[in-house]
Amino acid sequence: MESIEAIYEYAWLVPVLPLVGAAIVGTGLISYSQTTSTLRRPAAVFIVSLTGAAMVLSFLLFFSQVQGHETYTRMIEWASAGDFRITMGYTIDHLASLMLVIVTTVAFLVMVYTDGYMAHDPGYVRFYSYLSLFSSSMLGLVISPNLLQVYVFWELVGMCSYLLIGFWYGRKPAADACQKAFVTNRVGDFGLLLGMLALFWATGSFEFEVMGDRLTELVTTGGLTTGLAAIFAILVFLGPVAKSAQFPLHVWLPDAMEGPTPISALIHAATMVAAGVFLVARMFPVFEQLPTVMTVVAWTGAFTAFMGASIAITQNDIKKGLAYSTMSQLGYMVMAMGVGAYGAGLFHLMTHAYFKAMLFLGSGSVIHGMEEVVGHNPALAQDMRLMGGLRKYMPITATTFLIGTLAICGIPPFAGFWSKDEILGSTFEVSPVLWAVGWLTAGITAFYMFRMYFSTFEGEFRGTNKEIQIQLKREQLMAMGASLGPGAMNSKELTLDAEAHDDHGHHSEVPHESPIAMTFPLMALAVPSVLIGLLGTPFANYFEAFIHPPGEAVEALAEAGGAFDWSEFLIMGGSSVGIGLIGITLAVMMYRTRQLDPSAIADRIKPLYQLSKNKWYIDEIYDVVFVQGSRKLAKQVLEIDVRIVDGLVNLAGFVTLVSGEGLKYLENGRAQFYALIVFGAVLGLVLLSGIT
Amino acid sequence: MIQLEYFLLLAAALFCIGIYGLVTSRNVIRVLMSIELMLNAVNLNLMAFSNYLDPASATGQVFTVFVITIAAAEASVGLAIVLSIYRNRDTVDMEQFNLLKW
Repeated sequence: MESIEAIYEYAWLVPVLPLVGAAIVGTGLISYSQTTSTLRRPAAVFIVSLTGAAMVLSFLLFFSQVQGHETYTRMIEWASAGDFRITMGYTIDHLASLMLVIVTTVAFLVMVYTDGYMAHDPGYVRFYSYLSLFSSSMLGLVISPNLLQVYVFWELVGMCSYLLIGFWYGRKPAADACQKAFVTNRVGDFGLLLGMLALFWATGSFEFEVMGDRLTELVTTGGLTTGLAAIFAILVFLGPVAKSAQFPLHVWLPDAMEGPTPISALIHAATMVAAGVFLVARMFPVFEQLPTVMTVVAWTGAFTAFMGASIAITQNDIKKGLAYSTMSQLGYMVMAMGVGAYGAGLFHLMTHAYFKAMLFLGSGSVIHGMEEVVGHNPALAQDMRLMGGLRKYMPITATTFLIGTLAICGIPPFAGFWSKDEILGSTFEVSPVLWAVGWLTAGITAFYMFRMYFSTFEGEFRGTNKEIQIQLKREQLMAMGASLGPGAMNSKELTLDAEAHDDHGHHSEVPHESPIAMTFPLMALAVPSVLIGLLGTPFANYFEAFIHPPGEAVEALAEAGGAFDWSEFLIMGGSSVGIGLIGITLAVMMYRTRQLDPSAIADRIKPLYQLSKNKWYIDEIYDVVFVQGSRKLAKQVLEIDVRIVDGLVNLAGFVTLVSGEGLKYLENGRAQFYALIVFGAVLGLVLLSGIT
Repeated sequence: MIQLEYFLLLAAALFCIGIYGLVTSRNVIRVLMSIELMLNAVNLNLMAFSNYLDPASATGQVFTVFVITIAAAEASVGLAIVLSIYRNRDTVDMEQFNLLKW
C-alpha cells in the first residue's frame, strides 16, 4: 500500500516530465540554436522517453483507480487576500486517470511516428519541444482540480495548438490558419472566462462540485434566477464550443490541418479538441441542474455532428475530410453530454481518440508516400483525386486505415460501434428527434469514410496522371489568387514557381510504404481501435461502472446494467448498423464498382452539392459579417477618433493659445500696475464678503 | 482711554495714503517711502488691537518692534537695489523699469 500512496504523491510528475523535456530542449534551441538542431536523435529520444515515463506513471495511476483507490486530491494555496483564497493542486479520480492514459498513449505513439514523418524537416527538434510542451499542458488540464486551473492549462493548450498549426510559418495558409484558430478560440475562451467569473461571483468557488451544489441551492432558494444561471453555464459552454469545434465556432478546425499531420492526429483529433468534451464532463454537476443548458448543449452537438458529416462528403483533401469527420464525432460526444449520457460521451471520446488518431496518422503515412510522387505540394499530395490503388504500395497503412474506417462507421465489434450505439441509445430515450439526426449522421459517416477509403486505397493509381495534376494546380492557383486579391501577383509567375517546386520533389513513379517508425504507431493504435469497445458493451459495461457522473451512485448503475434488454439493444444497434451498411453500400456502388456516377448525382442535386462543397458557406458568411464588418467598424471608429476625439484635444490647445494671447497684454512689466491690480482684487474680495 | 475706532481710522487713512503714493509715484524713493507708510499703518493696527484686547500684556508692541526692524532691513535692501538700477540706467523713474514683460 505504501508504494501506491507514493505513486499518488508523485502524480504531479506526469505533466511535469514532458514540461522538463520541453524546457530543456527549448532552452537549448533558444540559446544554442545551431548545436541543438543538429542533436536530432538525442533530443527526440530524450523527449520520447520522458513521455514514456509519464505514460507508465499514468498507467499505474489508472490501474490503482480501477482497483478502487479513492480519489486523491492534493492542494496548495496559490494566492490569498483576506477571505479570498485560490488553491492549486491536482486531483486523480476515475475520469482524470482515464484521460491521463488516453493522452499519454496517443502522445507517445504520435511522438514515435513523428520521427519518421518529420525525418527530413529542418524543424525536427523544435517540433519535438512543441509536442512535449503540448503534452504537458494537456496532462495538466486533465488533473486540474478546479475551473481556474483548468482555464490556465486551457489557454496553454490553445497556445501550443497555435504554435503547431503555424509550424510551417513560411507557408501562407499555415500562418493564416494558426491566426484563425487563435482568434476563434479567443471568442470561446472569453465566454469561458466570463462564465467562470460569473459562477465564482454566484457561488464563491472554483471547485466543480461545490459550484454545482451551491448553484442548485441558489436556484431553488430563489437567490439566482434560472435564466441567469443558464446564461452563466452557456457562457462556460462557449469555451468547449470553440475548443471542440462545435458550430458556430468550428471554422478553425479544418484550417488547422495546415499543420504537420502528427499534430492533426494528436491535437486536432485525439486530445485537445476532446478537452471541450472533458470540460463539459467536469462541469456536469453545474450543467445537469439546468435543463435549458442541457438542451442547448445537445442541439449544438447534434447540429455540429450533422453539419460536419454533410461537409465531409464532398471534401477532396484527405485531411480536410478527416477534420470534418472529427468535428462530426465531437458533435456526437457533446450531444451525448447534452442528453445526460455522461459515460457514453466519454466512452466515445476514448474510442474516437484511438481510431481517429490512427486514421490521421494513416493519412499522414499516405501523404508521406504521395510526396515521393507528386512533390512537396500539399495541394497535390493530400488530394484524393490523385490517389487510388495505394493498398498495393502501402499494405500496412491501408489495413490500419480500413480498421479505423470500420471503427468510425460503427460496424461491430470495432470500437466505434459500442460507443456510438450507446450514445444513440441514450439519445433516443431523451429525444427521438435528436436520435434521428444522430442516426442519419451515422449513415453519412459510413458513406464518406468509405468514399475516402476507396478513393485512396482502391482502384487505379492516379498520381502520375498529368491531367488531374494540372487541373488541381489550376484550382490551387485560383484559390490563392482569390486570397491574394486581383493583381497582387502575376499568375504566370505563380505557375512557373509551382512548376519548379514540383520538379524539385520528384523522386519516383510509385508511392512507397512508410518506415517502421510510422507504421508501428499505426499498428499499435489498431489494437485499441478494434478491442477497446468491448470494455463498454451494453451487457457488461465495465466502462460505465468506472466512469459515472460525480453525483450518481455506483449501485444504481450496476442495477441498470443488470436489467439489460436484448431486444432493445438489437433494435437500436441493428438500426445504426443498418444505416451504416446503407452508407457503405452507396459508397461501394459509387466509388468501387462505379455503378453509380458520383458527378451525375452531384449535378442532379447541385445546390446541395455546392452547399456541402463550400462548407455551408460559413467561411464566406463570417468573412462578410465579421471580417468585413469589423473592418468597416474600425473605419467608422477611426472617423470618430479623427473628428471628435482629436477635435477635442485640438480645441483644448486652441482655447489655451487664444486666451494666452489675449491675457499676455496685462503683463506689461510695471510693478505699480500689478500692485494696483492686487489692491483692487483685495478690495473686491472684501466688498464681496461684506455683501454676503 | 481712547476708543479703538480712532486708531483704526488713523491707520486706514495712513494705509490709503501709502497705497496712493505707491501707485502714483514715479520716483522709486517715493515708492519705498509709501511702503514704509503702509507698514506703519499696519503697526498701528497691531498695537491698537493688542491694547484693546489685553491692556496688561504688550504683545502687539513687541510685534511692532520686530516689524520695524524687518522694515529697516527691507528698506536698506530696497535702497541698494535702487542704487544699482540707477548706476545701470541713470534714472529712478518707475515708468522706465518695465523690461520684465511679454
